[in-house]
Amino acid sequence: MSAVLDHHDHAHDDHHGHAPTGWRRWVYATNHKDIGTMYLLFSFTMLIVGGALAMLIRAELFQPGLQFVNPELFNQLTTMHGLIMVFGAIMPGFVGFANWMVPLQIGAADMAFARMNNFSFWLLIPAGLMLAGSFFMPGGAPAAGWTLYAPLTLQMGPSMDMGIFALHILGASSIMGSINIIVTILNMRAPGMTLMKMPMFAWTWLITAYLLIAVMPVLAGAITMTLTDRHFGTSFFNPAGGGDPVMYQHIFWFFGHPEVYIMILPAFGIVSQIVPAFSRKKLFGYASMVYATSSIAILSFIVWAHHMFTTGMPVTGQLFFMYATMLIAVPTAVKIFNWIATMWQGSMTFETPMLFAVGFIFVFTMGGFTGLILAMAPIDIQLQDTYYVVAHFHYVLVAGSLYAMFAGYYYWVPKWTGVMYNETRGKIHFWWSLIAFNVTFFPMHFLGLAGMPRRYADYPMQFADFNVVASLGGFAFGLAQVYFFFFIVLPTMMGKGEKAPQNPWEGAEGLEWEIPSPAPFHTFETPPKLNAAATKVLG
Amino acid sequence: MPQPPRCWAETPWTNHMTPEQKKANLRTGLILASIALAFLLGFMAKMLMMGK
Repeated sequence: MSAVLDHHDHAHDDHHGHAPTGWRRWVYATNHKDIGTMYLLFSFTMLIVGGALAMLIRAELFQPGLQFVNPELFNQLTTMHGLIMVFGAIMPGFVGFANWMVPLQIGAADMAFARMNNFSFWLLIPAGLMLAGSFFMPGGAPAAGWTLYAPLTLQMGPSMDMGIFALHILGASSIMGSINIIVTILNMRAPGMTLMKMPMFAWTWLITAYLLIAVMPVLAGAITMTLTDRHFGTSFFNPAGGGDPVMYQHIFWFFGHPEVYIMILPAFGIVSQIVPAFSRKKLFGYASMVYATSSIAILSFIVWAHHMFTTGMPVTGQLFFMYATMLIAVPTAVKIFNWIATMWQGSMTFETPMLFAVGFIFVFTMGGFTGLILAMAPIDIQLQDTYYVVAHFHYVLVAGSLYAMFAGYYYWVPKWTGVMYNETRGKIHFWWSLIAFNVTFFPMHFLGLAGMPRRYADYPMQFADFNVVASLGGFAFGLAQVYFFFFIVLPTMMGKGEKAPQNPWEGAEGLEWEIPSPAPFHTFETPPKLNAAATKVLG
Repeated sequence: MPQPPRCWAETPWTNHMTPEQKKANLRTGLILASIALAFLLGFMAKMLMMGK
């Protein structure tokens, strides 16, 4: 324990003994736990903002005809919902988890570049404000879809420039965050914490960070070229000047498809921590999990054009991207097999983190299967830009990424706050979210198969019934998250609840459970001595 | 005797790392940043000089 809680006897270290207070603690924060907390709060705020836009979308689609918004505003709502959720909620959310947990899991004192970590976070605030504030620009917010396709982006008002600037800032923040995570994991692991002994969450984040470094600059390049097309006379994507809008799609999806895995690999990591803990078994096939994660990451670079089957491409191209996409099912299936094998004959209990993890496996697998269906070029050509696609990616990103974040929250919040969440409320949150989620998105499969296109404010009468169901489910899902905030998050933040022991979970292993709850302000400043499995601190 | 810091934030824990550790971290960080820069400029240079 002495290596965990450092007792400084040097005069110049006296300031380390206690946590700083006041606004300086947060504005000048260099502590990974404080920055992680800020990331998570920012992410939840953006989740609520993006969720409010989703509520407006579902209100408009509650019945045919135009009720609340005009079609122009509807396009802005769908665009900003996507951008805010992807870049404002999910990505920063997982970076928050990484900030909190990666140093604790590998026995490092903090992130490698503490001040850059602060800068990475504080860049998010102006970017988030610019994204949300773009609604108040002349002509309204960007309305080209979250993919920002040319030529729409070349025709839009000044808010597009603000959106591009916001994405540049968010990209810079992500790249700095990734560099920090990679350097921390590669250079600062405690002695004995070899790469193949690292917890899966740290592994998945290491791979995710490499993906981010490779693809965020590509997005930055694409939107910079959009910017120069708009203002500086170039014609990269403008057909009038000899450019090619389809080229934008190629570049965007070279970023966009790995981005999908950026949003799901850390979720795999969280689930890989929780399933063994509540099955009271070691993770089945640890090495294969690592290799499967790496394979998914590598394959994610060669499948981008499955988003573009309808743009027209040679049959050989369609076949390549179709089969390459289907190949991703193999490592993904390895992971799902391993989670199920971990649970097999385990002494399982179903506390809220495990409920969300099992819910994740079940519902994410459904989203994976619809992904396989969409990977087939002949089917995709029929279903392109229908609600089937909307259902698919919400099954992957909401039931996937968001559920994993909920699971991670319930699993680690005792360590963060020092108090236990209310188990009954957690279970209510889970069942409420699971049912409402499926009521919202399952009918969208039928809408898509029947041919309802996405990104339209209106629809024919034939789609009315399923849209009513989806909207009611959507409102219920939104309300579940309000319940989560007021009845679960706030009480734990205010320290209300049963005091959490050092390790509240019987089967949980790892260095984060070797420190008291709540985690002290400074941990592992002296590299800890670890046992052979690198799961316990010796001495 | 070293002066106590005016504000805790002026001395993040990294100030207590060994110079070797700092140097190693900086080197790895710069390598990663150069990869990101190469991807950013590489894509745009390819489009600019070689068209599609």
